Amino acid sequence: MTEAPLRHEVRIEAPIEIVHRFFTDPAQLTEWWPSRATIDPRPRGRLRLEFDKPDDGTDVALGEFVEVSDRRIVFTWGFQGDSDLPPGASRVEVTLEPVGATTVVRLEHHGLPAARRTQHEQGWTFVLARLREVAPPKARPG
Amino acid sequence: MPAGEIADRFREVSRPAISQHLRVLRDAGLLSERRDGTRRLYRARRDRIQQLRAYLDGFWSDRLGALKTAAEREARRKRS
Repeated sequence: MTEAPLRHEVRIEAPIEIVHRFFTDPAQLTEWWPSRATIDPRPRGRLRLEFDKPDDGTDVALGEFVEVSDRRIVFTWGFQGDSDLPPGASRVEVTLEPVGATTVVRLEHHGLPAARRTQHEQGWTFVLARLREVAPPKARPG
Repeated sequence: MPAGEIADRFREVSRPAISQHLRVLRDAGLLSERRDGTRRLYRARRDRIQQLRAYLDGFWSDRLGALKTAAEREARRKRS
């Protein structure tokens, strides 16, 4: 049981070859996405992306490439140790379309699990963690 | 949970900043809000997957914006 995918689209003033490399070259990938990346961009190749969190600690996303072509990059996606979205649980499909000298990037995130009830306190733990991320610290006296 | 009780958990953050961020989280659908006289009571949305979706939605929007910036910078560098 799954819900509608998340969909995002962005138009980039750059040719498709340049945009494609930002998905398949680890050094360029880390310019916009994870803090560190180990990727093998070919079908069945693994990806490991590390995201440093603002406070401290690191989220590790693991996945496997399903399809890698000039106009399409598909991989599975999940977070290590996350029961809501474990590795392999969802799928990200990226489509690159050249439009003149620009590139339209469409991203769909499929297979996010359907809503389910969970403990009240878990909800608060999540919300309070988010709040801690966005709330700026008060200026310290002295 | 009353707003004051939430603020007590964040002693390093000012009350007005807490109120502002609670509104942001409410508008993002992570919290529901109810008035009780002059107090505002907040409830965390139990549906964690909705929260996960909201988080990932913001995550992709943010990251694709960064991709646009990086790729356009690279394209300008190659042209010059």
